[in-house]
Amino acid sequence: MRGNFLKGYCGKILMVDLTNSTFDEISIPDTIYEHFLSGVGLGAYILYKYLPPGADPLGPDNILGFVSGLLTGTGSFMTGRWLAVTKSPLTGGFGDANCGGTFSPALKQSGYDGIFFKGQAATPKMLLIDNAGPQLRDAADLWGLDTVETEAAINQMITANKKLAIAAIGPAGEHQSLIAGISNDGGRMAARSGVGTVMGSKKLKAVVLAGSKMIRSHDSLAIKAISQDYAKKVKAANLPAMATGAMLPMMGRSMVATDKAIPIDGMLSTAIIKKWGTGFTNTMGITMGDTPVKNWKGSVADFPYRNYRHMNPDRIQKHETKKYHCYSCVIGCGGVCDISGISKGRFPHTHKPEYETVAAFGSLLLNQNRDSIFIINELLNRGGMDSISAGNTIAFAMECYEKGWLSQEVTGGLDLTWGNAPAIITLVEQMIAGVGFGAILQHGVKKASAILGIESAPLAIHAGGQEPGMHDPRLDPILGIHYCCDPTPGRHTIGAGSYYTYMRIWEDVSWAPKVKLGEDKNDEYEATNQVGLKSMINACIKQILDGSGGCFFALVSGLNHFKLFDYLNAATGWQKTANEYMTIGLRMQTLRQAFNIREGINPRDFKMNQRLGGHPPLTAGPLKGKHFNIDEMMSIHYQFMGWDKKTGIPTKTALSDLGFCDLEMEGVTHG
Amino acid sequence: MKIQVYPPPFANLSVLDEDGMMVLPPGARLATVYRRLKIPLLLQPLVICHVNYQRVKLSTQLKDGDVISFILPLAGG
Repeated sequence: MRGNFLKGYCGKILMVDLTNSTFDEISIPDTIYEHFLSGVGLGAYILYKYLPPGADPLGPDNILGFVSGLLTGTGSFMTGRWLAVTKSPLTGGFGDANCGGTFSPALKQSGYDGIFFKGQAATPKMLLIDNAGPQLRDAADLWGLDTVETEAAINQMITANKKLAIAAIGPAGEHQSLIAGISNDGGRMAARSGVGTVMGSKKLKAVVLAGSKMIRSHDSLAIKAISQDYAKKVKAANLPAMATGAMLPMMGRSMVATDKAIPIDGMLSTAIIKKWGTGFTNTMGITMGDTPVKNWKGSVADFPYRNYRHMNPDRIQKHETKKYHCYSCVIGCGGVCDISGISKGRFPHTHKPEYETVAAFGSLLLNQNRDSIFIINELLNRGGMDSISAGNTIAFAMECYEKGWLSQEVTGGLDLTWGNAPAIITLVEQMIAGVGFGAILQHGVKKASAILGIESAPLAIHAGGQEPGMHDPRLDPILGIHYCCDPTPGRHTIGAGSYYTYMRIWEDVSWAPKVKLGEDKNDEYEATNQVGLKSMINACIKQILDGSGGCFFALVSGLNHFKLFDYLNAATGWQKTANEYMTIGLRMQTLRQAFNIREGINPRDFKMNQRLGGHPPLTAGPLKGKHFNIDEMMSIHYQFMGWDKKTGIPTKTALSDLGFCDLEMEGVTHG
Repeated sequence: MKIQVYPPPFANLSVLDEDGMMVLPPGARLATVYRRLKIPLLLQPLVICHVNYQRVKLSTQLKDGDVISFILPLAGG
């Protein structure tokens, strides 16, 4: 085991059987890490191996895993993210969600690369792991508390030699809203895929970590050198004091003023993230067309300056009382905002609202009431509900209301006129509690549409059941490919044409196409080999990142700065090339796809709503007239992944080439 | 001499080759790069420029192989 600790990983997982209250330590062979890394790859391996095919996502057979990254805790920077993995009740396929904070290193300090749960407890439980080992404790008194209250109660209840790392669900997960997430660090959310729903179905209220085991890597000096070089560049990246949020809309307009591709040094973009966090996109995204408006059918013409100016990140940061960094982060995009006045004393503070939340409850609903977004942000964090899914679902309801398909009789008296902030707040509260009209919306837009009737389906914006992030594929069609083709669909952090440009992966991977100055960006609206190759590369590198516990903002700062492959070699002692790591990424992604196939998913069913592909096209704004053929885009991606071009099923040849035959993974090699 | 330039989108790109390289006479200064790229005056307050990942003055003399990066926001959340 000592040898494993010198490779950056622990070499074992903990399997907790909640039905029988038993624990099983499972050793993981080195070869599994070499094939799948840790994080999402290890999670996919465990799910494929131990989850019975066809398991009910909300039944005892489903498995919920908490996994750290291979690089987490090794001294590498920007690698402190953990992932929840499970069979998603939202999509029926592979579900994952990741989050920062301090939980990921605590997983490894407990002695495990991952903690997995099967079965269902009869009464609410929480898992505590300290240096004495794991124990299940009664959590009946915690059931019903929100996530912030839960953490506070646990901290009162348990004394430890170090600060506890706690991941917990709120009321949304308890009553199994399908868009429930898992919270840590007082409201940071692993929000997507319904991972909190599964946790609630298992009656698992919280995971509490207090271990302090060492994590050692193969060459800590090499890791330190890479980290110092990266930190030096990040430290130097600062905006001049005169730069204000009021300039961002102009920047957005300028970014779409040219159709020509421009090589980008992603490192300096970190200066903007350091200053505003993700909120810099609040207004810039609207003027450039990235931010969706009015349930994805509007544009800046529907939410003009007089509306979007309220989302200026400077105005949001007026409430910020402190900034914070996740574990091992040198950028520090997080913040805490005082909202005691805004909420009339109901909540003392909230995490600085992320761009996704601001957009989902701002322009998407034509809501210019900034104060309402602060309150909604805290409600969702405490309730344990995904803001992206919740916002999309309310946007759907508002469009139905606009069309007259919903009456106040159905909404329980709520006036769902666009931008009605008080009604939106009430609806969010109802969704979290699962009451009133919120009981219809609490499971996301696909379920809501099914309840409200077939004619509402074109208004239900999702891909495979999961609502898309707040980035518009009509601006960046490769983003749309990932919305449709990732085994966990609707995710905005998998890849995009712009992300590809930022990464500069062609400097490491010999077969990756270089983005040349002056290339026509409109070429990305066609299903060309270049587009297929870029999307395939995006998918693979994202798996490597998620297998390492890496932060997306490090990736898009550029692999020429964030030396992910060097980090991995230094941590493990492997001598793999970037090309070899990309094969690992392809294998990880293919395993996730194979999981979906085994669970009966038809990959073509993950095709996103046609509106996102510009059908019909927008009639105003920077994306006016933009459209692309979604089906053809999916086909070209499948082809480059080595999956059948028509069906999206991994081919026997691809599976064999990726070495699945040697891994004794029954079923994966069937093709 | 040749320098690597990561330009902002609103720059005059015709002065760069397809890899973003700019040819300058020996002794050229950073201000020359600004002029050639025609960075709009209105946007200059929001533009930051680093030479080899360090903030420098416009009067800084450049040398062959320098990397000049202009900041460019990205989408995320």
